[in-house]
Amino acid sequence: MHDALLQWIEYFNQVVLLYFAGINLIYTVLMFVALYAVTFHSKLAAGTASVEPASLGVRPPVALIVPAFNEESGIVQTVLSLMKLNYPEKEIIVVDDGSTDRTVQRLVQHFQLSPMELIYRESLPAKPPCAFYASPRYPGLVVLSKENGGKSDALNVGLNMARSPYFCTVDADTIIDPDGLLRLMAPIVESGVHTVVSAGIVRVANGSVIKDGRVVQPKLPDSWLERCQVVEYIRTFLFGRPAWNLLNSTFICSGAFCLMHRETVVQAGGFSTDTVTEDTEMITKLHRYMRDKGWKYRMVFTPTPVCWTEVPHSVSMLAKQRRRWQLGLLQTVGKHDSMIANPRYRHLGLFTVPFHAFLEGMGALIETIGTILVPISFLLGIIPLSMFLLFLALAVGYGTMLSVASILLHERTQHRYSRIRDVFVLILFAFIENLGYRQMVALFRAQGVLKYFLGYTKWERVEHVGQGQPVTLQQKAFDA
Amino acid sequence: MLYAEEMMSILKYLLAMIAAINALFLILVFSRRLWRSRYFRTYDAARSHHASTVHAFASDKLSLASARETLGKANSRPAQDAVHKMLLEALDDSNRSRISDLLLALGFVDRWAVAAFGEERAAEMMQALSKETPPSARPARNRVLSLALRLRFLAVGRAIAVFRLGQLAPNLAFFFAQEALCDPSFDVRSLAIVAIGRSRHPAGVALLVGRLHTAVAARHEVSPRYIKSALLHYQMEDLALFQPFLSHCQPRVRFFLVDTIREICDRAASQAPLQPLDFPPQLSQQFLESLASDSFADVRARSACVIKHFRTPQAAAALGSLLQDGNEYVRMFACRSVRHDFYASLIPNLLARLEDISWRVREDAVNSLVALGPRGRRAMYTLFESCTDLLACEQVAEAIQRFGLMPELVAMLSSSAQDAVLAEAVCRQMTLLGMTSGFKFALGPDVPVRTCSLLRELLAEAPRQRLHLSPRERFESLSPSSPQNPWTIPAITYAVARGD
Repeated sequence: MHDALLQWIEYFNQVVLLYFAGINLIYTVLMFVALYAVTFHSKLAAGTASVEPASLGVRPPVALIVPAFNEESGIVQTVLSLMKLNYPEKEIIVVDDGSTDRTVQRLVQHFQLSPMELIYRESLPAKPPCAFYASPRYPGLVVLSKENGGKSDALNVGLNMARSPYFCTVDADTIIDPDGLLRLMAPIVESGVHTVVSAGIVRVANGSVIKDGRVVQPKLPDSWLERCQVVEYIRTFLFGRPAWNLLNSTFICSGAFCLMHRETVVQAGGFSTDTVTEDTEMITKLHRYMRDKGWKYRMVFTPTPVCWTEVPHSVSMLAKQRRRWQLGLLQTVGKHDSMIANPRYRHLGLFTVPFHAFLEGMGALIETIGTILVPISFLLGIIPLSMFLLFLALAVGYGTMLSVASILLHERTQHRYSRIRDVFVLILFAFIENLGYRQMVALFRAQGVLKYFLGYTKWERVEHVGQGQPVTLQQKAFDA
Repeated sequence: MLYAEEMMSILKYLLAMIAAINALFLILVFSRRLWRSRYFRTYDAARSHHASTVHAFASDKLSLASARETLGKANSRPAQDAVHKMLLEALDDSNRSRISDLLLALGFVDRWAVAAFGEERAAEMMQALSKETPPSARPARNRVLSLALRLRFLAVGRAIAVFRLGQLAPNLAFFFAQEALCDPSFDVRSLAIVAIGRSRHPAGVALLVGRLHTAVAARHEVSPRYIKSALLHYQMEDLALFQPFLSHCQPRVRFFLVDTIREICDRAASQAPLQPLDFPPQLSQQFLESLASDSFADVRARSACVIKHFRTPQAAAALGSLLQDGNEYVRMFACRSVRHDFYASLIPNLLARLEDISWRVREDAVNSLVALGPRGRRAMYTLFESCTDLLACEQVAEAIQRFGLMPELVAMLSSSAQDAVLAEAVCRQMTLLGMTSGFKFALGPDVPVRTCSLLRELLAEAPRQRLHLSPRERFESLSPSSPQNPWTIPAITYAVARGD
């Protein structure tokens, strides 16, 4: 029995080793692709600053859809930031998804909205709105109230209400850069190929100085957890996504601020209510729909910051968020499993979807078991001390390398942290996050994998502190 | 499986390599910070040192020779960058030629030309420029070299140089942009297109229309919308340049050109109202006689938005017939185009469009009636009062709420007998539709008692809101007890209206 257990552990260590080598090899390739893509994009953008984005002559109308569930703390700030967007033709549609707090009241009070009976035309199935609020003072703003049906349902209601050819999903806890929408629209206007999705970098708002619904000074947050997330966001958005985009394999776009072509999304069936990450599912669905139809299309990711979001302040909220993301990823690849290894979908089917299904999805389980088994193997004498330490150093060193590469890319983008002290802190946390934070996140992701296999489908809600109170204090300091 | 010792040595090598890469990245991060800090120190110093010279030269208070002598002293790269950026920032229509001459004299144009076209070709071009002759034809590029030049890392420098050259005086900018249009890189070509648009060079329209034709036909060219962006730099006084191309054989080219003219006109109209004389007579004639009846519906639709600015009886006649076009988008744009007092004679046509089969047309017809002022609104109320088309009535009732017309109706309820009768009928129709939320908010302390009591009475009568139901369900739910249901939904409307 003992020998069999040791043998089993040894076999599993080999699986962990193979997984570690495989995923890191792919990450290394992505890192170099991203270094190329981001560096030259930033250089071109800096050298031709006045061409983009404000001088863009053609600016198709855009509907900004904000699904909101119990977002009373930040909803007014978000709508204000949307109103200040440097974009001529926009409609703002806030969909209150059956909030139990004062989300609607806050909006009604602040924007002096009145209840009205507006015409609602259903092109996508969704729970119908039970109340509409608007005001002649703000002709571009409509608030809809409906029974709780989830974020996807709320987005579908917003889509039914939207008039514009493009729409943008906006999370209620998000602050948009004034030129963010123009930056997302620029690649759509430039491209001769039908661009169905355009996304950009999401940055962490925690700690930054926010004034009148916009981030006026990017600053690092104070807590270790938020700082680790800052490094993680920089890594995800600066080397993962631009690299996938250059390979024309965008698979994940943050729904926090993402521009899409309305008619294509409606034709594809709108947002699905059977997954907990509607943004990822929509991207996969669009890939599938367009390829099945044989239509030329593209999805773009612009390595330019477009919006700022509030990340979880506590470990419990972080756990909920990461479990949901992992569960949603697996639900998405599970729902579209016929794309896996299907040559009809080309590189997407042969590489991108399998990578996300097996390495990013299931991999979390291997990573977590590996994190536990490797020290056990050392304690049981299966792995010698020297190799254990080397393996540990390699894992930490490699993780740090990816993060430092991202910080290097971050230095090339706009809205970088201005103080040198912040760069030191970022580099320090690029190292520190490998000593506990990553393992903790891997554990949450593994829980998400288990939830998927156990058939959980419930959305775990992340509470936000909101940009209301803390921001006001910082704002006063900034004003002073 | 590898032996432990081999594994150890591999791990050691990997670790050493990762440590080295980490160190390299760290050096790059901090050296970049250091480099930027030094660069901007010199840059800022140069800016403050040369600001007065640049300002004086830009405002024509300093001669070219003096400015050249002073600014020529900027030797370092940051100082030179500061000088050329300040000069480009100071550019406006009044000093573009002078500043371009100074940039030429300071050698910046030569440097940018070398960066954009290579030394040999730049020399040929500068020579042609000095002789004021067109440059010789460019020799065909090696195919492999062309493929390599498409790569972004090789194209960024050329693109930035073309962008800078594109900011010079129109003749210079156009001269260089024409050459850059042949570049293999998409980035460079698209910036050349922007430069041509910015230059507003008369020959630029023909060049851009040629590109537009290619873009419409070929999928991988610069997008038509991007070329339209460049064409949008042209102004009202340049409209005659577009006229020869408005009869282009490719309908989508015609559409993009008409749409460009539409945006140029709208932009100008937002500054000051346009007059018939602002348009070249032949262009107006072409719009009224051929484009308003073009075989391509999108051309007809956008033509309506240009014709609205003419404000002549012929324009009103053309818009009147476009309001009855067979294509819903043409009718929609025609509805949007009559939001001016001059077109008040078209109010009956707009009222007819309230019963259109397309909700988009109904919506725009209502919006236009509201925008036409008291006459339009009164016509809308009068139609609404006796209308039995459910979809038209809902559209009017929605507009009354969204445009905040309830206070006007409340005021009418308390004014002359005729107005009061009309307003009461409107309020009763809204009650029948169940669209009465606005009534509660119209009940203020200043509202006469009789009006308040009428509104309260109507509120009590109002059925439950039913807008989330389908038209058929709404139709069936309205006044179910009445043997004579007041509402009708024309069968064709019900069948065709998508989403209703």
